[in-house]
Amino acid sequence: MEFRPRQLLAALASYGVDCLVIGGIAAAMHKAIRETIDVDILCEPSEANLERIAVLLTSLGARVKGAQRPARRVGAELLHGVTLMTFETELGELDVFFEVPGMPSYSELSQRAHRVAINGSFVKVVSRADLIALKRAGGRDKDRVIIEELLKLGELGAPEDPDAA
Amino acid sequence: MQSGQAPVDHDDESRGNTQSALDSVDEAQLRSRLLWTANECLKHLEEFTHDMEALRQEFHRSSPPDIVAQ
Repeated sequence: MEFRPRQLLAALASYGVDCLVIGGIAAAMHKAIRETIDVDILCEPSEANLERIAVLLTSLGARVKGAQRPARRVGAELLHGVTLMTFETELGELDVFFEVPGMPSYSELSQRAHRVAINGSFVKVVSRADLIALKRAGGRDKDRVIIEELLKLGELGAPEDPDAA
Repeated sequence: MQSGQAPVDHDDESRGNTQSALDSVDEAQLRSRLLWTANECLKHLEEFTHDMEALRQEFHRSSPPDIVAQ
């Protein structure tokens, strides 16, 4: 499967999806670059945004990860009431979160997020401090090295804003 | 538990693996990224992922089937 995270992020922006980039891609944007195979986003849960996500997913030929049947139209109703749904798209795997247990609300995280230019489009990436908290909340052993890198980057003076190089 | 006996730590192995990974945090490498924009970081990530995938495919091509299965 193709994995083109920059194109995927640009597509999210062009369809007006209100979301925050989290996970390994957010870590990479904050300069902690480790191999990752998917794009994780935390989405604003309004009905209008669910519609935009559904239109985007349909345009990218998305299907629920592991599903055997071929891609078809994705309806917003598929996203109602879910906390996480994982899709395979033409541009790579996309993990759509609406909630992360133990973390503040979308609106709170969004206020601290940074607006970043990717391939000419603007996306919001979660702040470094919130990303560290998200990784800690996940409690996965493999994330500990990313947490260490993010903390080290802070010590080395990496700017809070990923685009303020 | 008998006096002096070390407690059994079932997480020793995973801690060891994590420690190895932590040891690989390379300060010089991190310093070299300080001036990269987010877009540049993602470009490097894509190249790195592409290279890793190429290595995996090469491994599958060149290794005996019993090794690949592991």
